[in-house]
Amino acid sequence: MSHDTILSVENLSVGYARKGLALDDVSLTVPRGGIVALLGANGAGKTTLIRAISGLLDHHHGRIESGQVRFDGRVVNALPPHKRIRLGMAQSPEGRLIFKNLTVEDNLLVGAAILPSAKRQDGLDAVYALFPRLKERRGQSAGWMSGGEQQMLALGRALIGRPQLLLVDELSLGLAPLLVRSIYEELKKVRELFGSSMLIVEQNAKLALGFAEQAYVLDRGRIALSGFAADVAASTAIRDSYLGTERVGNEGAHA
Amino acid sequence: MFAQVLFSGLALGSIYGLVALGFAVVFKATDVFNFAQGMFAVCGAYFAVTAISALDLPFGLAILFMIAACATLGVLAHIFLIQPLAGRSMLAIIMVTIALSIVLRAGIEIFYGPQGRVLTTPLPSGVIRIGDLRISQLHLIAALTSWACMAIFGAFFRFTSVGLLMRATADGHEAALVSGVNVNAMNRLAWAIGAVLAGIGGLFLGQLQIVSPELEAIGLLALPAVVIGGMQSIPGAIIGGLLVGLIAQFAGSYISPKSTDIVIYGLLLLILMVRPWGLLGQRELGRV
Amino acid sequence: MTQNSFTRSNDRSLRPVALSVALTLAAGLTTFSAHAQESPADGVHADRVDWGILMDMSGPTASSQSVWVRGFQDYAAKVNEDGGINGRELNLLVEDNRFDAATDKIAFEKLVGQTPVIAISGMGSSVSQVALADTIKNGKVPVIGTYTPTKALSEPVSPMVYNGFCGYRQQAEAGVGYMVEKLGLENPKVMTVAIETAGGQEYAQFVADAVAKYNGTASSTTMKVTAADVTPQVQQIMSEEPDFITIYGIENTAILTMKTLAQYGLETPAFGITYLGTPSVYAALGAEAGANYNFISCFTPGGADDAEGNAELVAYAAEAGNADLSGNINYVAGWVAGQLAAQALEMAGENPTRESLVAALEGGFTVDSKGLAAPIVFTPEDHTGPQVLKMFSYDYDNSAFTADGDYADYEKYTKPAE
Repeated sequence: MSHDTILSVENLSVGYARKGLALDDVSLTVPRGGIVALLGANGAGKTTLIRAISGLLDHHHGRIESGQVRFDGRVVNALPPHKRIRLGMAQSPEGRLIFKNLTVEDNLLVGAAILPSAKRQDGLDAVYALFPRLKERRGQSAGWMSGGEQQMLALGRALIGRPQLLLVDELSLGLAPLLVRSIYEELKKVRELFGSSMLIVEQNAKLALGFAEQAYVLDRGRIALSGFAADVAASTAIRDSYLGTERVGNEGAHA
Repeated sequence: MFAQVLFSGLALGSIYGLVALGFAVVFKATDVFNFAQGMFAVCGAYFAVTAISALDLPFGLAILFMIAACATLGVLAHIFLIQPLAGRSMLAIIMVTIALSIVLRAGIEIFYGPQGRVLTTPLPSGVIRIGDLRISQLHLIAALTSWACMAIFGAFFRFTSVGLLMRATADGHEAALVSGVNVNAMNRLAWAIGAVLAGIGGLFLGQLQIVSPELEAIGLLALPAVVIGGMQSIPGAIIGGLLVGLIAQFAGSYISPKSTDIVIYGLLLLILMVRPWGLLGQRELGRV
Repeated sequence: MTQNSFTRSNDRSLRPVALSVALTLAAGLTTFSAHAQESPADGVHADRVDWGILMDMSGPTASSQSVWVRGFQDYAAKVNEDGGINGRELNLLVEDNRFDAATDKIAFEKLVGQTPVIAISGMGSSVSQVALADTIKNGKVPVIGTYTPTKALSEPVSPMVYNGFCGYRQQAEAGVGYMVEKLGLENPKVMTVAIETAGGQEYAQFVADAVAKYNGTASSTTMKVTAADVTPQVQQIMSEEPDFITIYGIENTAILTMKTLAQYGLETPAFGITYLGTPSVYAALGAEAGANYNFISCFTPGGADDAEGNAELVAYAAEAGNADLSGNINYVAGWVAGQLAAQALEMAGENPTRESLVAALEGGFTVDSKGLAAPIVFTPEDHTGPQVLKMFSYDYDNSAFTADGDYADYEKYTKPAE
C-alpha cells in the first residue's frame, strides 16, 4: 500500500444476519488528498460499504466476512466507530442524522468532543466561517431547521475535527439542485483549507463525476466499473447498468 | 392536617422524583424500561447497611461506597444484560429487567436474610415544630438532598462535555456513533447514574423506614411517576415523582391508606388514555 | 366357559393365599411384639415419628416464623438427645408455605398423604388457616400447637385443633386492660394499627370489644404486610390522638410504625402483639422510640426470669449455637410448642396413631412448660391453650427484657365476665 493512499478497501465481503452477501470482494482506494465518487443504484451496497469503512456495521447487525479496511496504513476492521473517528475519519451520514433536540452549537460541540478542549472554539469558528448560516442559528434546536441547513450542520459536525478523510453519504438527498451545488462548492473549499480526502456517495452521478477525480460504480455488491471520473462518465456500460441514458446530462432530474 | 400532609407528600415525593429521574435517564439514553429500578433502590439501601454495619465505615465513606457499588451494579447490568440484547424487541429487554429484579431480590434474601435491617446514620432524626406542623428533620434532609442531587445532575447534563455527549446519545444512537461518541460508554454511564440515583433514594427510604426488599414497592413508584410526568422528560420525572408523593399522602390521609395505589394507578391509566406522552413529555416520541 | 374356569381356579388358589397371609401376620406380630408397632400411613415408624411443621420459611413473615421453627427444632433435638419419646425420635418435616394460601394447601395435603405425619404444628399464616379450617376440622390429622390462633380454626372448639400461641382475644384484653390501668385512663381512646390479614381484622375487633368494657372508643388503621411507608397511617394517629395504640403484624409493622411516630416527635405509648416482642424490634427502634413500646406475651423471653424452663431453654440454645435467639419470643414460642407436641405424643400411648393422639387430647390436658410460659390448659370446651399474658418492655441499659408483674396479676383482664 502506497504512502499516498489514505483509505484502501481490500477484497471486502460483508453480510447481514440471515441474508446473503451485501458486498462481494470489493476493493477501492482513496488517494491522500483525493476525491473519489462511489456510485450505484439503490441497494447496490454503497451504504454498506460506507458502514464498513466507518465501523457502523455492528449497529446494523452486519459483519465483515473477509477482506479488510485499511485507514492511513492501519487495518481498522475491529475498531469501534469512535476510535476510527479519533484516527481522523469523519462521516456526514445519509439522512443527516443530526441531534434534533440539541441546539446547532451543541451538535457541533459533540463533533468537537474529540478535540482537546482548548481547540474546540477554533473548530467552531472554522465551521462558522465555512457555513455562516449555522452561526446565525447556533442557539436553535437542530430539528427545526430546513433540510439544507441540517445538511450543512451534518457536514460541519463532521468537519469540526479536521478529518483526514471525509465520508459523505447521499448529500443531495431531498435538497434543491441549486443548494446542492453550493454545498459542493463549500466542499471544494474544505479540501483547500483542511486538505481532507473525500469519499462521496452520490445519487446524482453527473454532479459527483464532475466533482470527483476518480469513481467506482457498485452493482449488486460488486465493483462493476472504476477509473478516472471522466472515463467512467464516458463509459457506455455505466449508462446501461446504472445511470440510465436519460439521466446523464440532465443533472437534478431526480430532484 | 393539610400542611402536615403537604409536607410529607413533598418530602417523600422528592425521593420518588430522584428514583424516577434515574429511571428516566436510563430510559432516555438506552430506551430500556427498567423494571429493576425499584430493586436498585433496595440495593442502595443494603449497600449502605453493609458499609455502615458490616464494614464499619464512617458515614461519608459509607455513602461513597454505596455510590460506587450502585454505579458498578448499573454498569454490570448494562454490560451483561442490556448490551447483548441490543436491537432485540422491547419486550425481551423488559423481561430481562424483571428477571434482574427477581434475581436481586432473591440474592438479597439469601445474603442478608429475610429480616429487615436497620440503617443507623448520624443524620438528625428530630422534629421541628412550627405551630401544629411537625417537620421531621430526616424528611427535610431527604427532600433537600434529593433536590441537590437533581440540581447536580441537571447541571452535569446541561453544562459539562460528557453531559452533552450523553444528551446527544439519548437523542440518537446512530447519530452519536457517526459523530465519534463512544455510545456504549455513554450508555453504561447512564445506567450507572440511574442506579446511583435509585441507590440514594433507597438510602433515604431505608433510613426513614427499614431496609428490606419490600422497599422495592416504593422504588417502583418511579414507574407511575415517569409515565405521569412524561417518559422522555427529565423535569417530567421529577414533577411526576412529586405528584405521586403528594397523591399517595393525600389519598392515604383523606380517603384511606388502602386507597393510595388505586388513586396513583388510576391517574396513571387516565394519563395513558388522554395524554399518553405524559404531562411534560413531547407529543412525538423522539426516535423510531 | 372362561368365566367358569376362572371362578374355579380362584376358589382353589384362595386357600393357600389366606394361609400365607395369616402366617405372615402371625410372624409380623411376633416381630413387632419385640419392637414398636409401625403405622407408616400416620407417620409412625419403628424408630421415629414424623411430625409436620407448616410455616413461612420465606416471604415477609419468615423473619419471625423461621425463628419459631428453630425453637421447635431445638426442643425436638433436646428430646431426641434424651432418648426420644417411647423409644422413637421426634422427626420434624418442615414445609415452607411462603406466605401463600395455595402453597399451604399443597403442603398440607403432602403432609396428610404423601409424606404422612401424625400431626401438624405451626400453620403460621392466618390467611391459609382460614382457607384450610374446614379441611382440618373434617380431616384426620390434628393440628397441635398453632402459631396463629385465628377464630376460623379455633371456634367452635374442634378435637382436631389445639392452639399453641397466646390467643388474640386474650392479648387484646390483657394489653388494653393493663394500659388503661397503667395510664389511669377513663374512656380510653385506642387505635389499632394492623396489617391487612384475617388475623388483623379479628384482632382489631377484639381490641374494640376490650375497649368497650372501659367505655372507650376504638378505631383502626391498616397497612399491607409488605408496607414500607406508613406515613398516612401515622398522619391518622396524629390527627386522632389516641391515648395509646396497639400494633398487630410482623416485626416490620412495629418498627415502621414506632420509627415513623418518632420521626414526627410523637410519644404515643404502644403495645405490640406477642410476635412483635423480639430483640431485633427493640434494636431497630433504639432506646428513644423503644421506650414507648411494650408487648404482651404469654411466653417469657429467654433470660427474662429464672424459671426452670427458662434456664433450660437458654442453656440449650447456647449449646445449639442459637444463643442469640433465646431472647426472641418466637424462639420461645416454638420451644413451648415443641413441649406441647412432645407431651401430646407421650399421652398418645406406646404405639401412637393419629386417632389415638386425638383421643388422648380431646379430654383435656395441661402442658408443663416449667415456668417458661403462662399456664397452658386445654379443656374439652376450650382449646385456647395459654390463657394469661403479661406486659414486657426492654431495658436498654441491661439489654434484657423485663416483665411488669407476674402472670397471675393479669388474670383479671382475661377472665370471662361472670
